[in-house]
Amino acid sequence: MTREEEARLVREIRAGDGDAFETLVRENQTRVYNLALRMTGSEEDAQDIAQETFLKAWRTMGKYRGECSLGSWLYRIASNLSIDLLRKNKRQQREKIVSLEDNGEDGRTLELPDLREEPQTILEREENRRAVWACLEKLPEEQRLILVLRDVNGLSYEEIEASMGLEMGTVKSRIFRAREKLANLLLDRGTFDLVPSSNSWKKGRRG
Amino acid sequence: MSQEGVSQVAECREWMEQISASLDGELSPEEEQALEEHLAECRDCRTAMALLRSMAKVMREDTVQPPEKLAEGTRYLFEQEKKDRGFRWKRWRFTAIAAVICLALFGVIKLAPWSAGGGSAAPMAAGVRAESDVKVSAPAAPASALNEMKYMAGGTAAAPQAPEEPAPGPETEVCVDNTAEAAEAEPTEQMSGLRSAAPAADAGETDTADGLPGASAQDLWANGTIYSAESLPGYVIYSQLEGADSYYSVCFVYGPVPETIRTNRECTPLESPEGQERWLVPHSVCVNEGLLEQFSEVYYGDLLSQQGLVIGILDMEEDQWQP
Repeated sequence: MTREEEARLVREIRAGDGDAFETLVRENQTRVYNLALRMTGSEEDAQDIAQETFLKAWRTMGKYRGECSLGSWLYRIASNLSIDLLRKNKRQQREKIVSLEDNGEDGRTLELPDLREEPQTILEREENRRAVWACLEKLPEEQRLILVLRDVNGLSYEEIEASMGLEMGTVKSRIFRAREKLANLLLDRGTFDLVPSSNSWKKGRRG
Repeated sequence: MSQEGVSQVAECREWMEQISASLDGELSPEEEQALEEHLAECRDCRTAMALLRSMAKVMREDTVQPPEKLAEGTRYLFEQEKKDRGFRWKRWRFTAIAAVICLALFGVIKLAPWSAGGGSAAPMAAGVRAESDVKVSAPAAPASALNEMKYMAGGTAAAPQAPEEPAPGPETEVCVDNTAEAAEAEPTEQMSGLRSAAPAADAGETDTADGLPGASAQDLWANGTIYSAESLPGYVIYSQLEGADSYYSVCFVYGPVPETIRTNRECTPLESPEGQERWLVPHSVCVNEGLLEQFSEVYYGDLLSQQGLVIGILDMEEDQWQP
């Protein structure tokens, strides 16, 4: 959808056009729903969040000035709603709240063992794909969000910067650190079969 | 894949960051070239690339289709809410009225004898004594109001001095109940209470006429913009009502605003003297002490600050004006 088309859609929605609103929903629901699903890990929550995202977008349409794409704007609303919900749930569970400032940096670099198979082949298996999503849920909110925006929603670094309100130039390293942590979680989980000789892989040697 | 055992790749970390960016198509041609050369001679980085690429591929491809009822259900709620707009507006009127009251309050306070030099007799006098010299003209279109306000904020940054004493805990919960239904429970009583203050709004108009050229509160109301560039002491309440994130009303807050509200509600930081914080807080209202309790009952919000300044009701759609 071009910017002009988006602007027209916004005008129609502001005028209360139900068909225009439904177009907005149908055009964006998959990505908004997947964002919420990957952030919360719950289909039910994802539905609620997706629904609320569109209604909220409608209620606040006057705020949208077209400085970012309509999609980015919707993702931003969905991200905020997801994080709100995660925090609410955490409070209910009396768990430690991971603040947005916590970038999840644990100082661990990615240590690669030799793998039995190509990662690609490994991750083609259903159970291993599920493992990726399970490990994603263990990442701190911010790391999870940045990966979801990048890989699930396909936003560029620039769009992510705008959407998350990050400082210029920090997206690249933030995304890498999130991926690094996700890879380490998968390795810890044993998703990637290590070669038998690599029981002392942490000491390692350069090949 | 090689059977050589395992490698420590910490020194390749910088290259791995490049790998990650390369997978996202965010490297320059020169950077791509350099990375390729490194990859040609580094087995670890090739493994890392394969691993990161496969993870990103899963995330990109494993798209779950939302249930069909999502679009239908959302459309249904949209239509319902549209129908309820009139009803919703009744609720929103509280916000608008709050702004009018604030305006009135300002006028009254400004006229009151103790405002000239009354000292600590009235707790609300402190902010009022520090009046801004900047005159405000209401912009023609509400759409430009936010920018206008930012400008104003810059212009008046040094003028209104926030009182020395710190605001009460900004995180203080003003109320316990948090259901929208409760807000609608006693509209008549609340309204009458609020309306009784309304005539004062008109009384205040003459005094603020400079800032609000020749307009009555009702006119300003109808134009969707109510302005006062003066410091208005009172309590700023951030409303948590459903749908409370529209710019129906906006307050300046002199002082800290809780981070959760800042990030979630897109508050705008304003130019301020060193050591102070000033924020533009969408959907917040400013009320005086006497009205605090009443409003906290209506709004179920968080107390943000002891000092605030209502500067407008913005982005009010014409069709939302009708009760």
